[in-house]
Order: sequence, then C-alpha cells, then structure tokens
Amino acid sequence: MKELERARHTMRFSTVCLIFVLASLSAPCEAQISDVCKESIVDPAVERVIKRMGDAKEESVGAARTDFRARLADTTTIWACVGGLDKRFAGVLERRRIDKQVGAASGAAGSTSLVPGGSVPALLGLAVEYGGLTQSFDGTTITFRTTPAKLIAAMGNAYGPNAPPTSDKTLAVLQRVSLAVSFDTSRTDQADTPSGSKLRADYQQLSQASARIIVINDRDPLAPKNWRKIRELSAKPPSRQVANLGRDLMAPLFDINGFKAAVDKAMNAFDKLDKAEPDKAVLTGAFTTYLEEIQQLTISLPNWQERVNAYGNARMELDEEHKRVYREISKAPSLTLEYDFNRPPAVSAAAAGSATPGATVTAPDLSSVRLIYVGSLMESEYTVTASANFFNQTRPGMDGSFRDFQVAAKWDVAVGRLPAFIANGVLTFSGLYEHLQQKPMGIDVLINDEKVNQPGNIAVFQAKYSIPVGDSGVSIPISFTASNRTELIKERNTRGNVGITLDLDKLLTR
Amino acid sequence: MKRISNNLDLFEAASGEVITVTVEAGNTPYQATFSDLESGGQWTQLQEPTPQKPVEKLTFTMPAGSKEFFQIVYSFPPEGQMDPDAKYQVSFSGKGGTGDGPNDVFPPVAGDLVQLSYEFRRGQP
Repeated sequence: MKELERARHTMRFSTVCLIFVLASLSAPCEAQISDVCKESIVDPAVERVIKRMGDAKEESVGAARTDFRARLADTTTIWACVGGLDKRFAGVLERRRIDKQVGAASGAAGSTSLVPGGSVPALLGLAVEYGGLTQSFDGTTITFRTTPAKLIAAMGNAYGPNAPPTSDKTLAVLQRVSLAVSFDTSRTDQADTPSGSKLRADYQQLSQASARIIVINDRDPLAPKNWRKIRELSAKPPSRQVANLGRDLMAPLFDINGFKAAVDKAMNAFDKLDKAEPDKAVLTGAFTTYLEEIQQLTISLPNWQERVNAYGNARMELDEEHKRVYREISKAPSLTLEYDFNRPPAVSAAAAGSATPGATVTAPDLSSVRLIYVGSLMESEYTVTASANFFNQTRPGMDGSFRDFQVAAKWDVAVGRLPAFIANGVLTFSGLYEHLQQKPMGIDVLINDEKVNQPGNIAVFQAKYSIPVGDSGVSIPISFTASNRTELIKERNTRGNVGITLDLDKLLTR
Repeated sequence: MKRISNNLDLFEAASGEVITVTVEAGNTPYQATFSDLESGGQWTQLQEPTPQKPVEKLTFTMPAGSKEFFQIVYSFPPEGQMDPDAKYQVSFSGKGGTGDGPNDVFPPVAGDLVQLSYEFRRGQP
C-alpha cells in the first residue's frame, strides 16, 4: 500500500512538474514577429516609406510619414502581425496578368510574339528581345511604349500647379490611346549585322512605330459599369462585416495607454531619421519593436484571439468576393484598333537586275491596320486579330500597294510552376494565316542567292512558354515555331527562340 | 473639433458637435466602407459617390459619452488592375470651420485594403 501511495505521490509530483514546465515554455517571455509578417508587411512597408522620401523634400517626407503612420495603425498590420496572417490574404493578380504586350508587335525584327496582345503597360515599357519570327532576320529590338495621358500628367507635374489642368474628358480619351516606337539596334551604317547593339534611337534604327486606341475596354475598373459593381461591393454585408469586426478588434487597443505610447515611439524613430539618407535598419527595427510591444499589450485584452479569428474569417470572405469582382472585370472583352508603321531592314543583298551586286536594298515602308479582340475562356485568355498591310510607296513592278491580309489567333493558358523552382508561367499557342498578295518586300531581292519574290499563302504555328523570373518583372519567353514557308523563303521552316522581356511597370514600382 | 495626435487619428470634439467625414477616391473606383459607430449612433449620408464625382460625405453627432470610435475600410483594385497613383483622401470638419485634412490614404503593401481607425474624444464645447 505504501509503495502504491509513493507511486501515486511521485506521479502527482511529476504531473505538477510537467504542467509547470509546459506553462513556462508557453509563456510569452519575449514576443517575436513572424517571418510572414516581416516579409509581407514590415519589409515592403519600410521599403516603400523610404522610397517615398526620395528627394527628402518636405512634401515627400510628409507623404512618407503619412504612409508609415498608416502602416502602423492599419488593422491589416495588427491582424497579420499580432493575430496571425493567412496567406490567402495576399493579392497577387499582377503576377498572373497575361494580357500585356511588352515586346515589339509581331512585324518588327526580333519579336518572339506571333499575335499582339490587347493592352499595354501604363508606364513606359521597354523590351529587348532576341530572335526572329515571321521574317528571316534576327536582331535586337528595343520598344518604348507609353500613353499620352501619362505623359501629360507627367508634364503637369513638371510644370507645377500653374499649368492649366487637362479636362477629365480629354484624359479619359487619351487613356485609351497608347504609342510605341521600336528601334532595331542591329541597324548600323555597316548594314544590318547582329553584332550591332548600340541604341542610337535615330531614324536609321527606327523599325516600327505604332498607335493603339482601345475601342471597347470593359476591363477598366473605372469604367462606369465596373465602377458601380465595385461600389456595390463596398456596401454589401461582407464589407460591412469587415468594417465592424475591425472596429471591434481595434477599439480596445486604442483604450490602452501603451498603444499610443508604442505608436509614438515608432513615429519618433521615423522623425529622427536622416531624411536624406534614411537608415532602413532603424525604421525596420522601430516597426518590429512596435509590433512586439503590441503583441505584449494584447495578452491582457479579453477575448483578443476570438476577435482576431472573427475578423480573419470576415476578411477571407470579403477577399474572395473582392477578387471575384475584379476577376470578372479582368476577363471582360476588349477591342483594340492598331496602326503600325514598319520600316523593313536594309538587306545586304543585290536587287535583282542590279548592276552592283552586294549593294544594300531597302524595301518600301509598310503600314498595317489591325483589329485585336481579347476574350476569356474559363481561366484562359484568347486573342483574335485581323490585319491588312499596305506598302507606303508603289515601285515599278509592284501590283498596287496592297501587300497582305492576315488572321491570327492566340490562346494563353496560365500554367503552374513548371519546373517547380520557378514562378507560374504562361503557355501560349498561336496560329497565323496570311495571304500574301504580292512580293513580300514589294521588290525582287536576293538573300543568300535566293530570289525572294513569291506571293502565296502562309500558315504558321507557334507554341511559347513565358517563364517569369520571380517577381522581378523579367521573363524569359521560349518559343517553337513551324511554318509551311516564311514570307521571304518558300521553304518549310522550324525554329526555336529564347528571349528576355523586361516589364518596367513592375521594375519601376518596386 | 481638433486633432490631438499627429501619430494616430485621435480627435477631440464637443458633445453634440456634428462631424462631417469626407472620403474621396483618386484614380481608383470608390470602394470605402464605414463601420457602424461604436456608440450606437447613426451616420447620415450627405453625398453619395458617383463615377464622375467619387466623393462620399457622412456626418455623425458627437455622443454624450466619453468617445466615438469607428473605422473606414479603403479598398483598392488588385495589383495588376490598379493605377499607380491610386489613393483616397479623407477629411473631417466640425463646428465653426474647424477640421482636419485632407489626408492621403495610400494603397496597402499587402492585400487589397487599408483599414484605419478614428477616435473622437469628448472635449470642451
């Protein structure tokens, strides 16, 4: 009996010890923010605040201060860093956006795209691509793309508040217009050589200029139809639920004296920063310390975790609804009218019948009119284009100015991580039918002793896989192209291309 | 009314004072949501936002209790559909031309919304 009693006593003592040890381990001796909070909230917030300070002028510093203050007090920050972040919360549609055409349109030398897309980046787009597609010339093409609305806004900023403002109606029209110009850096004084790569941006290097106007754009969130849909969401129960549960989460924090003290301490660190050369580590430290202090404060708040959970569930519901509305908008159809001015490269070959073999021949410039329709099919996106090309001048022997008619279709399918270590890519299947009414260059030319002068019908198929390199704005398009002939050579052609594309929208907003 | 903190949206207002809150969306669809007032008071809408004029104006009356607390949820389009210049502006006005703002509300660094708290404490009439 005594042994049994001793055993019971020992067990009781062991249990008490175990509870004590577990309790000691679970006690929040030292608060620490999670890696997810640091990567999703703290680091990007600090980077943006420092970026806003930019020139260290009063206005920039004021904007940076407003931003930092909001990041500290934002309910999202408290929920994500103090309550726990759910990864579904991060909105990352930009990474999956697949309707941007950053490279040159399909006619320019060096393009890896068969069918142009329906919209362009709002900021300047710059793309450098290697490899050819529908022509037998390879080169390096640099494209600058912008919208007049953005240029006017930028000029307005440059000229200051005294500049007469542009009317909203004018801006609305201008926002539908985009302009692009491409330079082929392989066009040098020594004719076209792939080795030429210095951008001079002069008329000699000009390979393409284009203007686009968006005729139908149901993808613009600011279009009245979409605007009302979005506004309606803000009055619906999921939005009101988030607002009310956020209030319930934050109100008790405001009542604690320590909360204001923690905010003041972090803002004090901001105010003491050297604005000309802000120390990122100091600001990150201040933000982190603030969050750790808030973590400690919330321990004393009754039902804190229940409130966090209720708010989190409401956020998830709203997030899904929010994404659904914007996904619908992003999949709406668009119709674009495009005019391209193309300058074919000088060909290092003799014109047929020329007395000076080896002389450079330049074909007439081309004008292209193109209609582009972009629609969606389930999670994928398709583009159909119809275009007609005309020579800008009629030379002797030419059959009028009409050159060709083309119909093309493209199907973009967002695919998963393939291979697993890279970001989600886009698989594109394209087809092109072209009726070539007359000689492709308008005149007889010899390339590698082959006469290029045959009209006819051309069919091209292309499969392309674009691999984004992380979230850097850089992607690598890999394409495989097969055709019954090219415009210049009447032979079956199969080729593969690898290129690099830069999206300055992403690079500049980082 | 007057602002009593430069680091938090803390204000002081007299009991019974009518406070007007104005939110304007710039380069983004208007998608702001006001929470209910903590005191149980009611919002009165003075102006409904439209695509042409995306401005909403609401008023509340400062309660007899010690404070009023509410939140505004400012939603933004997902990254790929958002104008880089998107922002909201919020301003407050009270009795006798007193007020604060407009203050910028910039897009979030993660997710699609910014949710800020506003507290009005009872001050001297």
